[in-house]
Amino acid sequence: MKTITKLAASNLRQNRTRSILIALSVFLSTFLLTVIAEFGNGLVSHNRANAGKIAGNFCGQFNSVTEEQYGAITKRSEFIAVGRMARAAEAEGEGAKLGLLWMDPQAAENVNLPDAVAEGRLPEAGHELAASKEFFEKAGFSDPKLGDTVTLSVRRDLASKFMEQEFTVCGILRPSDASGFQKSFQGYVSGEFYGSLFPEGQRSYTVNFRLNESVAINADIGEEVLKELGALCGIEEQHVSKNHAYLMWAYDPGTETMMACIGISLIVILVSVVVIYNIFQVGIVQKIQEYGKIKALGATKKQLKQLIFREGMALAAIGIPLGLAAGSAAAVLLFRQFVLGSGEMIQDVDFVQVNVVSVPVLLLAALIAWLTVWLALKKPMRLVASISPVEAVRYQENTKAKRAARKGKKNVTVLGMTCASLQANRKRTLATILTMGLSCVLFVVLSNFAGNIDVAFEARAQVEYGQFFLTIDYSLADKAYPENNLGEIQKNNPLGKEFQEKLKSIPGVTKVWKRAVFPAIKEENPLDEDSQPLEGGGSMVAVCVLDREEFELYGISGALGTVDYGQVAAEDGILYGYSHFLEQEGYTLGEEIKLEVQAPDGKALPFTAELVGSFGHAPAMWAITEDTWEKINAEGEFEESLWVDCEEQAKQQVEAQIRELAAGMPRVQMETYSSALSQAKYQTRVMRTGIYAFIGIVGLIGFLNLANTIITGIVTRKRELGVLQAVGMTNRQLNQMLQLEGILFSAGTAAVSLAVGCPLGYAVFQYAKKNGIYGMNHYHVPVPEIALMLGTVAVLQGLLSYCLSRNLRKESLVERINYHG
Amino acid sequence: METILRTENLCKYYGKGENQVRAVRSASISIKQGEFTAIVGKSGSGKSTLLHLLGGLDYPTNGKAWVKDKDIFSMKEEELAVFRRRNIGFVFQAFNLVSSINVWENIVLPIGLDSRETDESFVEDIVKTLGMEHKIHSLPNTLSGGQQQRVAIARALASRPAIILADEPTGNLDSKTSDEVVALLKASSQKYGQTVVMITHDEDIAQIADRILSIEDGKVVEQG
Repeated sequence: MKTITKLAASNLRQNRTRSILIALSVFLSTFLLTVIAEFGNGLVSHNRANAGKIAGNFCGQFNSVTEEQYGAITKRSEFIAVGRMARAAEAEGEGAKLGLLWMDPQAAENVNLPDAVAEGRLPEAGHELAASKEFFEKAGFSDPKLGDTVTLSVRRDLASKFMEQEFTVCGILRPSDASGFQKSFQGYVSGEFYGSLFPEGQRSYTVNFRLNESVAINADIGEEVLKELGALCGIEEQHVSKNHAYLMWAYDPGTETMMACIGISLIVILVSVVVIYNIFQVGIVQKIQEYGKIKALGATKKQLKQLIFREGMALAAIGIPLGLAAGSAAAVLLFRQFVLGSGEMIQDVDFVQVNVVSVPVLLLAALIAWLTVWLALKKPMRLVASISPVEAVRYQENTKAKRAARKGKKNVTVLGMTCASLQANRKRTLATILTMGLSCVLFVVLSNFAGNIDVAFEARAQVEYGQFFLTIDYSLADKAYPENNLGEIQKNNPLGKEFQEKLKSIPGVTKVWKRAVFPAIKEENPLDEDSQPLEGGGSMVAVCVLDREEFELYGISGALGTVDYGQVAAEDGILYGYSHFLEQEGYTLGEEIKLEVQAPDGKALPFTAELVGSFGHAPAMWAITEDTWEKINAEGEFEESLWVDCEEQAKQQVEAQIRELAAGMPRVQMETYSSALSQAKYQTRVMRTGIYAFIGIVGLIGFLNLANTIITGIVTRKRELGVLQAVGMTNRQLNQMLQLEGILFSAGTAAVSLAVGCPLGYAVFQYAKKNGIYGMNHYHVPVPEIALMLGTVAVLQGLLSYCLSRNLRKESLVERINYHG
Repeated sequence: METILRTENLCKYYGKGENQVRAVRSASISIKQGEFTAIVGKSGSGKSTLLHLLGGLDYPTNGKAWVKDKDIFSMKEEELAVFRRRNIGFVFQAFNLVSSINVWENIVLPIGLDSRETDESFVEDIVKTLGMEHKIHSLPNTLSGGQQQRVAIARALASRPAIILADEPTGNLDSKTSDEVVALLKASSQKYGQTVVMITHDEDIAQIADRILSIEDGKVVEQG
């Protein structure tokens, strides 16, 4: 065995270039695999560790819980970290809703309230109050300090009258991140205060909790599990709600992230196996006579296999650890840049630090890298083991070619010689072009996606027209706070005509668009999870009214059935808002939908329409045309969204004035096109960087294969090239020939990548567009990206050919003629 | 007769000091147009080095060589390559045919590299003379050693060079094939009026030549 190891080592030394190329391929593959695995692992751990920070530390909530039910909950072993809270009162504020809540310490911890305390602490007893500065401002106190006494006008419910109450400020909470548009603020009071307003028997709590590890739960089955558990404590189904985000991040093992990582890893493994295999195979064919001699001298099949295996493993032993180290460093950097960076941009959250680098994941990456090398070695090992010594000693690479003759040309040219040489090594040429082509196909496909991301389109998905978007934040059937329901809001619509006139009168405003959404009662559909059942039967739905332009806009992607404005208007049809859920929620095209429009004046207007089609996504669950809406002839102000455009130079002043106008409107939210655009730009940059970096490295692995083929082609033909020079080939002609070989490789690669990549890329684009995936709008061939790729391939191969031809000439002609491979 | 090749005090030394090897020592020879000259020497006598120098494949430590009155070592690399393909034909011991192109293409290779039009009837005549007319589309690896060497001779003849240098052309062949190949080399050179310098270690083979030079420890002497 020692001899075999020595032989393997000497082979590696002798074929230094090949060894370096293989080690480099292994390094790059391991690097990529490590980055993917560590990044994916980091993402999953980060989401898990921070699920509580982001979504609250509880699996679900039970509402309207009585003392007895609370007692039952705390007795059951399934529930842990059970917290209680209750709405104690509301306080009078200036243009804002001020609520006073009581939370026990566990409930506060479950919703991360202690993290929000900037100064002082949460209330413990008596008339203590903790709230944000905004709360105090709205309540009329501009600069509250700890220990100050404030008097608030409070009432416990709508049936009670306001009365003055004194509170001692025990804590100041951090301001919430929701710009200047938040209209409801919470202050926190003690249990004692709550108890003073609500005597025993009148108390009703919201209970939040986590579940014991023994309870099998995840985001998909969460609701059912919680309803079952709730039922055991006497909680009715409608009072159960799950914390979807927490369940998804803390319980789901990040299936989507893992699937994406596995998919990308498979591509890396495929490319690496082909490349490493090819480099080995080419090297072995070149040295097959030597392997034959070793066999003739008495090496067994097993020993020959061992020889190849050890050569491969020695190189893997260099490439894998380096790849793991470099990959881990890159994963940490990428994670900091993309996950923590983007997280901080979006939310002001102190994330729990997770270790991106994990030893088990590293071991897994190493194992996969090792398996990749092993897979690549399998065929060469079999080939060497099956060599017959006699055949191998006689073996000359091209004698294996089935062709004994070649038609040839009457005159020989450098181009003709180059083509003949590539043709003679057809298999090797094709394998190289295919591997290089495969990397480039991947590039072309992904650049068809990345290159077609339309940032403005993506931003326009948020803010469809103009510069500013104002919309009502509404519910449909909120029983606890009916004032939040769309029907109620529209009785005195904040976005109504008066407001629109004010907007139009702002200097610089050029246009105001509006869209109507009206509430309607629809027959209840048990399959429709999003329907909002009403006590009197039926469910409340929102229906948007679209004009021709909007109709066409929403009809672009993912539509089903008829989405032609004229046709739908003529038939007075209705469309469903989300084609993806149409079937799942139990609707079929052609079905009759019976609605009752709820007008602000209290009238109910019956309206029946045929379900003629569905948008991929729409502003509401249902949609009708403007023409049909006119026919319904409902009276009132139904505006749900407004868009404002203005002169470019007046943007800042207009924004300030709109904000001022909207300041007294609790349910109006605003978004600006410029912030949507900058967010879309940031996300696009992150996505593109990731995609191109990945493709760049896969391309580099593919290029190593091309390099190997060109290098091997030159080394094995060193003598032949020497003879060509002896019979009169000039250095220039030699350069030309080598360059031409490279150019033909590049041309083949380009042909493969364009022929396969472009149609595939177009298909990916269409798929992405149909499914409304990020920023897909108009298709264009990503010419700059493809040109860059082809240019890079051409420059790299040109450089390689140039260096090799220079290197070749370092040896004298006589040395080359006498060279024995 | 015109002198085609002439050398003056040609030396080629390898290494330095005590380790210096004097492969060729002050060789001054001249070869006339149409002459068939054999240079005979044992293994390691410096005969291949001498031939490489005569063909401009290698540079001397000292001395000069003229082919058709052109000082070949004063030429730049590119100029020498062009000069070589126009004026010098090579026949190597290991045949050295290009494996990816067929027999015909191998033969016309130096002409093609010179961007000249092939004189097809002339090449066909050479092919016929060497008995390879049925093999012109064959790839070199499918030919026997003797056949490969005949292709190499045809390649040397095809560009009508001033001189053909043959380096142990029978070294890889059995004795019967060796005799055939040398006879063909002699016959064709006579037919096309070619000057040939052949290197061999085989005294018998050398007997076919018009003139025999011998080389020993790098020194070239005329045999009687």
